[in-house]
Amino acid sequence: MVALRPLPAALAALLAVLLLPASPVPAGADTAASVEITGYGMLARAGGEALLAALLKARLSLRSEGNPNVRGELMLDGWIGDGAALDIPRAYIKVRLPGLRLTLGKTRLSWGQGFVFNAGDVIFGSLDPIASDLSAEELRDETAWLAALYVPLGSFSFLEGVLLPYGPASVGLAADLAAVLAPVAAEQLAGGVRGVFKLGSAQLEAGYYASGREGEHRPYLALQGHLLVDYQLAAALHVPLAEPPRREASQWLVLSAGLFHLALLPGGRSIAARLEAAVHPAGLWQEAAGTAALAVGTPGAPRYGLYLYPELVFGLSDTLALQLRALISPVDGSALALAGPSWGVYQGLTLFAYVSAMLGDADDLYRWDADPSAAPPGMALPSLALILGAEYIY
Amino acid sequence: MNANSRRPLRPALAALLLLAAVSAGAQSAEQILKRLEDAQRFRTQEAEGTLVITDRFGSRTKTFQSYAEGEERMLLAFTNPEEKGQKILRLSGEIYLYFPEAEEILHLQGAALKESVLGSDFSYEDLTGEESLLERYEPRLLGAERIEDREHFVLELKARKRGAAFPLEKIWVDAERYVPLKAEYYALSGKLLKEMEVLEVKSVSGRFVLSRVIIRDRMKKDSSTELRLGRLRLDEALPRGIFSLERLSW
Repeated sequence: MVALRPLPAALAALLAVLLLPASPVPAGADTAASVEITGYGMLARAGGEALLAALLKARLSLRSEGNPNVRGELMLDGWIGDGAALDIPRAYIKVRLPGLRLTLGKTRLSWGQGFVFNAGDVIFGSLDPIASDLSAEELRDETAWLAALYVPLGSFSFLEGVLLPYGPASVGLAADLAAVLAPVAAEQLAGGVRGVFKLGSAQLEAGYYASGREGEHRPYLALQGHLLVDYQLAAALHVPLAEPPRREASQWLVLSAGLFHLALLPGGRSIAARLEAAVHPAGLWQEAAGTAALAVGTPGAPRYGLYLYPELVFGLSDTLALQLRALISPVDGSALALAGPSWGVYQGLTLFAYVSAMLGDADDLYRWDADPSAAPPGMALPSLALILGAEYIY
Repeated sequence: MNANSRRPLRPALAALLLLAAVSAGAQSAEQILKRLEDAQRFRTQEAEGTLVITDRFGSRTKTFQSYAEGEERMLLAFTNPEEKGQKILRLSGEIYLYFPEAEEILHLQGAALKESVLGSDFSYEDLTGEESLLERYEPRLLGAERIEDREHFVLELKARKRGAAFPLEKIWVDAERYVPLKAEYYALSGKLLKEMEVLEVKSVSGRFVLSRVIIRDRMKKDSSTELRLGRLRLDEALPRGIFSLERLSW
């Protein structure tokens, strides 16, 4: 069965309203506006049925300019697909004062290192076997309402402290507002501090974060450097706040590691290879069965001990690239793979075509015959999809 | 500048000129290279500019603002919508990148330095040169050429160390203003890798500055990057602490 889902006219109008401020009307002298529009068409196989779907995403960013010591940004997202939604992923003010910098509002802080797997990202958590849009430029882009203090220590080092009243923000304006408007008890607050230092030619990062909402202490260490290839390592402990039983200490440790290498080929071509791993030493190292297998990947359920993210990017020219990306769950032998070209044909315009597939048995993390309605949150991807799209930034 | 306007001197005439120069106490290759570097060395430089990157599908324009202090420190911030807020910091021979969407700082090392800067014919490695040309290369005076009615020294530069981005370079230096007119960059095998041509020289505060330069990557078909400098301020005080991770992520 092929189901065609046209965009409802009312929702298209909603998006038009969103984009109105970014039409060619010049922004104020001290405001810079940019717009990013992405359109996808997808032919997919999901739950044993064929599906035709479309998605239109738009992002409007308004940034302050002119004042060298104050920065502000308001970012609005809108998308229309199965339904329509609005979001404010960023709304912040940054102020530079002598010897320190303050950030107030909703934005992202990138702690640790890693493109997909990063044990040092103790704020947002970058260890889950995500099954999101693998074609995205940034696979981890969560933001949060926060107050942060940044203290530079010379040219290469700094300290940063952060307080999060609400934890990582929910996607969608309504959910985000509901979280912000709800009363917050002191024991639900989250916050931490990190230091970034230069260690020879490497960069060492050490930090601590505690979240009352998630009930955990999270100290971590991260290292980034170069030894034949670029590498990154991170280790974190997720220790329960309330009288942690020591016999469970082995479950607290999480690790991530990554390697990257770029090789230039004749004719201006290149090949970039990346391999990242997330390791849960106390996770499941044997394939789960039955309901336990179906629960893997859901929040709070046991995870498998190892997840991998390999990526190969063949740069055929400076504007044409062929990407191969995969999320692999070696313990149950399943994977989500994506392959296809992207072409930056004109300034700001990128065309792309990808094929993605879930490769695994019915009780694997990535299931070929998954029933989307029964899939864990964030895992309801089609088992096979052809995605054609375009992105335009102006 | 058109190719026909370049009239290489006949070898005999060139030899005569060189002889005359030598007899007049003219300079060695080292002295020419040092004067070239001195003429292009500024205590500080603040500029707004444009990169026009051309390939077989057309051109893309990137705008930027840059700050530099001496040979070792540079901060470059892109201002065009596609890369707005992306920055490159060069400090003590190291390159750091900042991506505002991810709020992430990347320390570029190893092979990643070979990556092209936003698809241009500059690589990050090209930005890392902080040693002087004389420290990196052994120069040899090949002769002189009169191009567009101006006298130019022709120098050959051989890398003193292995592993240089370009083991061999050839450079044409204006004999009066000591600015380069063009340069060729070769691989160890003698293969031409890149060419640079100066399209415009501006006089700023009594100094000659390269304000339009085009780089052609001979390894890529129909590929060029033109650098145009607009507003330019030389030897004026820069904001304090601008070359730091703090300013990179601002």
